Amino acid sequence: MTQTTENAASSQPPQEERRNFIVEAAAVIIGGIVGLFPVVAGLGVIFDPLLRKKKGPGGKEVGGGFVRIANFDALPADGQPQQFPVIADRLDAWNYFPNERIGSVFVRRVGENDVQVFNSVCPHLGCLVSYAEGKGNFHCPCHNSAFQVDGEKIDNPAKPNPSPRALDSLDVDSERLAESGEIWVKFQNFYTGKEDKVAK
Amino acid sequence: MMDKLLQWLDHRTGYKATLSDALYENVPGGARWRYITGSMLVFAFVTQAITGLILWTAYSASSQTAWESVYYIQHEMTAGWFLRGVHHNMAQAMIILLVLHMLQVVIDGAYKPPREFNFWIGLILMLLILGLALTGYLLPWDQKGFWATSVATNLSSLTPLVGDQVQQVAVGGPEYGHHTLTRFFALHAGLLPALLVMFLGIHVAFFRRHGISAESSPNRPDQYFWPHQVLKDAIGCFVLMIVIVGAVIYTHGAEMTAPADASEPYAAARPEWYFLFLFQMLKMFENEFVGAIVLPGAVMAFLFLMPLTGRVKMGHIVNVVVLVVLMVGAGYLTVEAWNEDNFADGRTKPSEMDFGGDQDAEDAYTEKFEASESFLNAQEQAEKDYERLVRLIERKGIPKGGAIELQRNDPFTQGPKLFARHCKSCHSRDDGGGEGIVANPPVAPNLHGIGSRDWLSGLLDPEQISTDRYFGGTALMELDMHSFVMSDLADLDENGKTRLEKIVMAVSAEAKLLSQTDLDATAATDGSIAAGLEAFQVAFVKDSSSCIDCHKLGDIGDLGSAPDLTGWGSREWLRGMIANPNHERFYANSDSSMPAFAENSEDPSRNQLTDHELDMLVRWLRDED
Repeated sequence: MTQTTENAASSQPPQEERRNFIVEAAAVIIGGIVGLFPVVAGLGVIFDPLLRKKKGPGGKEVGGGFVRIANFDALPADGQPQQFPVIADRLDAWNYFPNERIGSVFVRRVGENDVQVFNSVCPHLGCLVSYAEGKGNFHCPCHNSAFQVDGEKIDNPAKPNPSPRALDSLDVDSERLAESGEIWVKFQNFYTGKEDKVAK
Repeated sequence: MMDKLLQWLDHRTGYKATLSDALYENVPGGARWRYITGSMLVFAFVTQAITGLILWTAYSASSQTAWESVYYIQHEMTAGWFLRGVHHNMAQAMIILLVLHMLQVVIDGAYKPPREFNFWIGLILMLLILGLALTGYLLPWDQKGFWATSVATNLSSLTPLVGDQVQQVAVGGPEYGHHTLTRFFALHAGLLPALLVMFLGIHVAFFRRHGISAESSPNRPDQYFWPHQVLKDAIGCFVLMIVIVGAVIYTHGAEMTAPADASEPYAAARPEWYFLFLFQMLKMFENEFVGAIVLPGAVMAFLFLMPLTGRVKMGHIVNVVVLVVLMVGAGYLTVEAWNEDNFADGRTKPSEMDFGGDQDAEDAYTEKFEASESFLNAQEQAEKDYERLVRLIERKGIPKGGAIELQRNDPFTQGPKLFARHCKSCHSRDDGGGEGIVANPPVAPNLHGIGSRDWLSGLLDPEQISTDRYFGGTALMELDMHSFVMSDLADLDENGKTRLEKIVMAVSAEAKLLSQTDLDATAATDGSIAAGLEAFQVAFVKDSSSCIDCHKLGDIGDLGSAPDLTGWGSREWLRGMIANPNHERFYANSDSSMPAFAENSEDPSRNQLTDHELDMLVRWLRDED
């Protein structure tokens, strides 16, 4: 197809003007400011997630504290992990949910009176792992990450394990465990896909 | 007159020139079927824009209303399922058309100079469409979309340096919630379509500027766009429409699963089929940085460079070959992903296979089989959960807190999960025919049908009491109850059998099972229960014990030596038993080995089961719908 250029020269440019740098610069700057204005007005809201502190009603911080999970007695004596829901307060933008299920953990006995607690979230890309009793390991249904009963990565040369790190262990309040046999856990979620545990 | 009016209109608008520009574009070599994909894509996009806008009139983006509003469109609104189905299926068709369009352009060399810019714009359009597909998948806020999309957004945290921040801005916070939906919706219905329209405008304008790249030949004379190519395009779009309508009717709209729940695993989380090859690729690398960023990045870079490398003949050939190889590779990965997930479908269980002692083969087979089995089970469970939820909604409506509230308070959904978590380490609850939950191995009675006549008569049967349905393999073998059944009930005469039957009727009536309401009522009127209560107090064997010597039942007998059978198997009795089996009503004097799940009445937060959980568990055990 040939180009049509018939309407290109329909209007004559005004008489040759002396180029006025200041006028041009001012037009560009003012035009630019006006053009950016609507976006700038919204920057705060766009980046709000980075600036927000998780504060619930009455200004109390939500999340990050110790949560009661279960009693030591409830765990199988043979060190098999048991899954428990984590019930705590949750904040979702404008909603505050007291005592909601916010995640789940695997808890297992270690020795006579200690426990090991893992977040159920796979450190690879955030699916939830399950525990296979027969095989005695954790398996992620998404991309085949696999972990031993103690949370360590299973390395099998025949089958790549895409997880960058072991299952995320969580801190346990050992004093309370020793005193009352109750398992209190500092429940946190971590960024996935990284070698280091970085709390969200 | 008409002529004059049109002339007047043309003078003001110049429509004639515009129209003839649009319709009388020269098509070198004449109209061809292979050119129809562009028009079909425009048709598909316009369909998406219009159906999307109409869906928008009924959609509400928040984590408490998104699923609910989509449910309402799907199940309640007039032809809502059809509208949703069209939008869903057309999205899939768009991906296929996109691939065909790109293949046509590259194979025909239409990306070569001077059309580089239009090819790049086309790639941008492709990314925008993939972005629309990704963001749209989340909007129904069901388990499937939730988990698949969360994997995708978790990948965004791999971005160097600012990954965490990118993820937070995309998701609207550290975790999924209201703001994930509002943001995804703003992208899906606002920003991305606006950009798409803009780039589509440029794409079409550039296309008109350079025209079709084909060359005229004596055999194939040039034609104008109108009417030959327009007809071909129209037929293409028409066929697409028919295919979409057929698919929508065949699948009855688009699928939906239970509402998203971050604490509820979903082992069948998969992206839509057109992203499956990326999903499969992530399994192949130790480090997802390669599978998720480096490789797709390299492919995109290659695509962007194609117009430059395609200037020389060799470069063009390489481009076509690489593109075809990439397509075949992606197709292969897609099929492989599908095969892995469906491996267990129709295959023999590893336990029933003969591997001839080849341990490696057995392990490999078992692992594949189990992974696929868990996928298929999760898929089946998700369907069941969804159907259950639909029934609940039909019965009760959706409460303020959303459909998830119905699901979390439903004995039939939560009962099996609570049982698996708290009871399964000792008890089974299966019908013996493979349906239900099986402990491995059971060390306490099977609770399937607890409270029923069938369960109770099995317990009182010397041939059954020692099996693992009842006391077999448990500490209960030591109880006097076991020796009583084994000796006193061993050789009953006809009279004894009838008495035992009446006792079963009387005690089972205590459970007030909903499924036995009619049977219990008959037993009460025909005197069976009265006879049972009488027999309860008489020994089967002379000078031996009767039931009443150990068990209390209503007003007769005393508490203490064995569980109180007043209300045995009833909601209240089961609750009490699970809450604290060592209470004097139950096994105060003998070790039951069963833990107490809710013994702290003063401070319920210390209990393993909340009151509400206990209630759901008991209702489920009693099959109360």
